[in-house]
Amino acid sequence: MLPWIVENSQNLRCIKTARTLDAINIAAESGFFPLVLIVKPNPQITSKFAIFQHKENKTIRVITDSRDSIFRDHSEESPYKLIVHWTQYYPYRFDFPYAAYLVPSDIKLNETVYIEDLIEDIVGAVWLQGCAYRQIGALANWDGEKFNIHPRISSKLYG
Amino acid sequence: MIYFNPTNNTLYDKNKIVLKKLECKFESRLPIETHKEFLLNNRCPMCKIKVIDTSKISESKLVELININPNACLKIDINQTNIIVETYVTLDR
Repeated sequence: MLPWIVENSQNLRCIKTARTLDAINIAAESGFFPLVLIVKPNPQITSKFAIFQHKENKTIRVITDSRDSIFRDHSEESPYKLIVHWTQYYPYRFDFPYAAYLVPSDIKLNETVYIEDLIEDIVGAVWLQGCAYRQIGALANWDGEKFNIHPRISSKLYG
Repeated sequence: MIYFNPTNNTLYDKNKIVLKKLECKFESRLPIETHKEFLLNNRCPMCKIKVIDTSKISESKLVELININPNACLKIDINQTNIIVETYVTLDR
């Protein structure tokens, strides 16, 4: 299986995602089946922030990593004061609460495809400071009704 | 220090100016097992070009490297110790 995928990964059919009403309907009129899904944040996917304020000029600094020098040095002597302690938040924004995979009419049962923009919120990377980020693209198999996504968690990126 | 935003996979220099967006078109198509090949050979199994591990590179060296070759292929691990993770820099997704 592995050598096959490596050899053929360039040739896999790429499934596009439409994230607006117009894009979905234009694709449908062009012969694609729009597989509509709800865009729903996964509570496991979170980032974090803390806010510091300069004691004199009152400007703020937002930090998202505890190794940041401001966080490491917020002693009495520091010019910054911590005003919002670590707070978890969902770090992605999508314009619409729905999206659709554009399924080609000639897709074959069990065909392996590459989805370049996942609609499902699947954890793709875990950061050791307690945060997790989305998997952006994935291999998937078409079962006739939906794509069965191959999840992969990796903290490594290339490019 | 190098800054990295894992929500848009972008590296920034010490002044938070964009250095490079990491967007390998093959990486997420390949099973996780093939990453061993990246590590063993420091060479991409698809493009056959050298992959540069950024975990031991200083910010100034990385800036120099990207200035010389903007298409250099970089590897980053969000848990490596020479980066600061900043998710609020830009949210372009």
